[in-house]
Amino acid sequence: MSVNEWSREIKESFGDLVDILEMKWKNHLGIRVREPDKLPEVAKKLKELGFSQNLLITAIDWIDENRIELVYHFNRMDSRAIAWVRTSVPRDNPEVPSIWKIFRSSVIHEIETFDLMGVTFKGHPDLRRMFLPPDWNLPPPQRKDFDPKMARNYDWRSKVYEAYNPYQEVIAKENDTIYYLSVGPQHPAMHGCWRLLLKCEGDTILEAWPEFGFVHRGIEKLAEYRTYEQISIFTDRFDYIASLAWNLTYAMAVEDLLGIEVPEPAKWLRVALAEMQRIISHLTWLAAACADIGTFHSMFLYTIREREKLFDLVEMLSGARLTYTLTRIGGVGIFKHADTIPDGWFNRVLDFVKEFRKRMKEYEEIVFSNETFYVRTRGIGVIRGKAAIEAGATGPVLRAAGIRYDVRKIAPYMVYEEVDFEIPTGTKGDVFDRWYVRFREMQESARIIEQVIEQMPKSGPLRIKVPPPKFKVSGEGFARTENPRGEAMLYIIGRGGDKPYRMRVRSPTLCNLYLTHYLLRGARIADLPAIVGSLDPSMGEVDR
Amino acid sequence: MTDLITNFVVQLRNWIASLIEYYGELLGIPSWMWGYLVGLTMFLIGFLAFGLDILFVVWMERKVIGRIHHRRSVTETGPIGFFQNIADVVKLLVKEDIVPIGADRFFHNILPPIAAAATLIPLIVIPFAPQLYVVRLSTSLLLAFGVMALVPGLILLIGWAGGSKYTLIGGFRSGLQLVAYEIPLGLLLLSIVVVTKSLDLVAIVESQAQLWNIVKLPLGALLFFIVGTMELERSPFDIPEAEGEIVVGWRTEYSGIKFGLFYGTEYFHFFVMASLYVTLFLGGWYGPILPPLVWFLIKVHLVMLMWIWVRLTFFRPRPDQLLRICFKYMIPLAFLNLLWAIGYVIFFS
Repeated sequence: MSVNEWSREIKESFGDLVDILEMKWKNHLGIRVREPDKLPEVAKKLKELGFSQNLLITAIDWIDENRIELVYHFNRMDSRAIAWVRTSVPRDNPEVPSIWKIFRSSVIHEIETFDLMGVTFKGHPDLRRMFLPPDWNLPPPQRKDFDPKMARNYDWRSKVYEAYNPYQEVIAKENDTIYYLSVGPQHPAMHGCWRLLLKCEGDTILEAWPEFGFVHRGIEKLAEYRTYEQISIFTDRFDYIASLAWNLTYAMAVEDLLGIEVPEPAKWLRVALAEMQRIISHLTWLAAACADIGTFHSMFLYTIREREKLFDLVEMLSGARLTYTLTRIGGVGIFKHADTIPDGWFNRVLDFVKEFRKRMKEYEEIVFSNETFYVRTRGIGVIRGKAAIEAGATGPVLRAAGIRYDVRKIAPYMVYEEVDFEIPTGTKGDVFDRWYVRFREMQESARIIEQVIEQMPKSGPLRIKVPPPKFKVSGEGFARTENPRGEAMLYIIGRGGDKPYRMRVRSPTLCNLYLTHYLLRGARIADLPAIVGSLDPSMGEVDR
Repeated sequence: MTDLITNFVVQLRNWIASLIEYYGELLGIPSWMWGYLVGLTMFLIGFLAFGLDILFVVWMERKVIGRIHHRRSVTETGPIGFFQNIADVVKLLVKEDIVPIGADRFFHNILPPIAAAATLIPLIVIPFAPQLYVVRLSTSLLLAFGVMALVPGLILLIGWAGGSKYTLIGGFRSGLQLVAYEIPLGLLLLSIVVVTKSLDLVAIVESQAQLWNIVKLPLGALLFFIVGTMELERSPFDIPEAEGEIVVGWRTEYSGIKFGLFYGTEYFHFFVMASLYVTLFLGGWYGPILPPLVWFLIKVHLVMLMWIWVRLTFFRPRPDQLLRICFKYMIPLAFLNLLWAIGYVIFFS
């Protein structure tokens, strides 16, 4: 079915209640719901039409018109189509019905929108302050009338202490054999600063509530005070393990907003760099995940050795080793021309790929020929098929659940159409499968890098100059990429100035980590690091 | 030649005894105390040597792990980083001792030295060389393992006294581990007793003069190695500590010298377990050319090296999987080993 048929069907069922919007992008379906109360019905209809995941909820504060606009993005597992559902609520009393019963994946986005934009979702099961202190009495921080100076007088210290016991009442009521265990914010299995509150009986976890926001930096708000070129540097800091991936997403979104096309060699180079970044990210994950379930950091040092070599390669192009800001608006890095890429860089990359293959074989032997590894990872943290889509998983977690979904294949960007690679999938959806998928993905990335280096045009411009006045456009920019941790989306709205009016980021890690709420039920305490580690947490991205 | 070191120790003891006799008379110390003073002095000398060896073992472990990790490990303090451990001990001594609000203050203070002492007690019955042991008991095997079985109970108490849920979980895991490995351990010791016909460690070593027990009971030696790993709580069976899960478990709430004592305890235990392994399976002090004590120490350190090696690439099983390993596989195999031992006694001797 195509966009036209879907829009006709929606129009037929809802008549005057909805408007069909003209979309800038092909294959995107735009719907405006006039009455916010009708939102669940529209969502239900979309689900019947095959849209299966709520990717993102964006709230935009149109302060001049005294309304808050909500934009819901729904995606499909089989085509590149995305449905945009827009609705407006008044600013002083923003209330919409929650759609969590139809799209379970919206739970975390609704919490985030409630917390940072002050929109109440009626009927939401777990609407709580997650990123802000529980008794926050200032305006919601992402609204336009929130002045950062307001927060200076806020007594953070006492509030943080109160935030530490959000389930006090629950704890008092339960009987004696059940105890509550707070895992994190400082805990080695957490890989950063976040917290899991566990309800346990003996060694078994009955319930788990994840909680984020301990290092939230408000970059989405911060972006409204910076020019487009300056924001590029923030995008490195989203996910410091895969900074290039976010650079790319951001650059693509802004290029979409400005309507510019990058030169051909830059596209190829971007793909090569993105795949190198994927290998870096997965190696870092492997290092940490092995240490979690007890190999006494042997693998940690082996994989970091490979990662260093990749850092050297990226350093030759960017001069930086962790946050590169290499993919910029209009092209790649500081190079104007493909001829200026340092001598021998391409050969060194090929050499690396050759050696990397050899090392991967070694690592596979260490991990997959180890009986203790099977014992430890088989059959725990299981989420399969439809349940994984429902819960909002993307990336390796979704593929391990048996769904062949990869943005690089479904909605190819840059030159992914022209290279040959496979999407590895798992069958059982347990921790073991997630390990397996990431291992295979690294090998596929190596394949892509080889092809790109061979086929890439070695001369021609790498970057087109975008003069500052050109940034003063109004409109929307949108990009979705396959990041190492899952599907990343960036939605940016310009309103004529040299700064964006609103920037919204879909963090795949946030959605994947919210899965712990479902995955940890019935698991053992000893399984916790294995399950959390298999989701590949990166807290910079969650608390962006 | 072979008795050189033993002779030296005996000479040393005699010299100290005469010294104490002379000065005791001079200073008016009552004569019934002289024997104790000699014992105390010998103990201090022995403990000093033992402590130096422990420092060497820690250094060796660091270096070996560094080599396997493809890194350099300690290099800066002293030649090839040899004095790093002394620096660490000094650091632990001067660190602030923190007792959490929720902890039981009395037990928090008293348990670390008790645990360290409990791991050291088996040393008095271990024969280092033909005449080089503190006491010879007819049931020294039972004493050594009986005292060592106390340690998990102490760890449970330590975990409880820490006053945190994590330390308590760690303590209970230690108790669980004891339940898991104690039965196969008992069966393995029984097979040793069957083969050597004695509970006396000196007699056990002497019975291995011709043929070591590892040849007589190969399966038993392998099982004992695994059970020893469990008893030592070393990776992959470091379930009570489990850094990624319960943040080094029972030790979490102990800082400063208390943590240092636990660290020391771990290595005292390590040394004791390795020397028991050598005594039971590797023929104790027996070996050609070199003096018996040197042979004994070489074997002990080789066994420790093996334990360091297995630490590095195995994933840690869950507590319930550990129970399954022990009850489903280790106990039947230990019985098989016992049958083998009985068969060996009947048919080969």
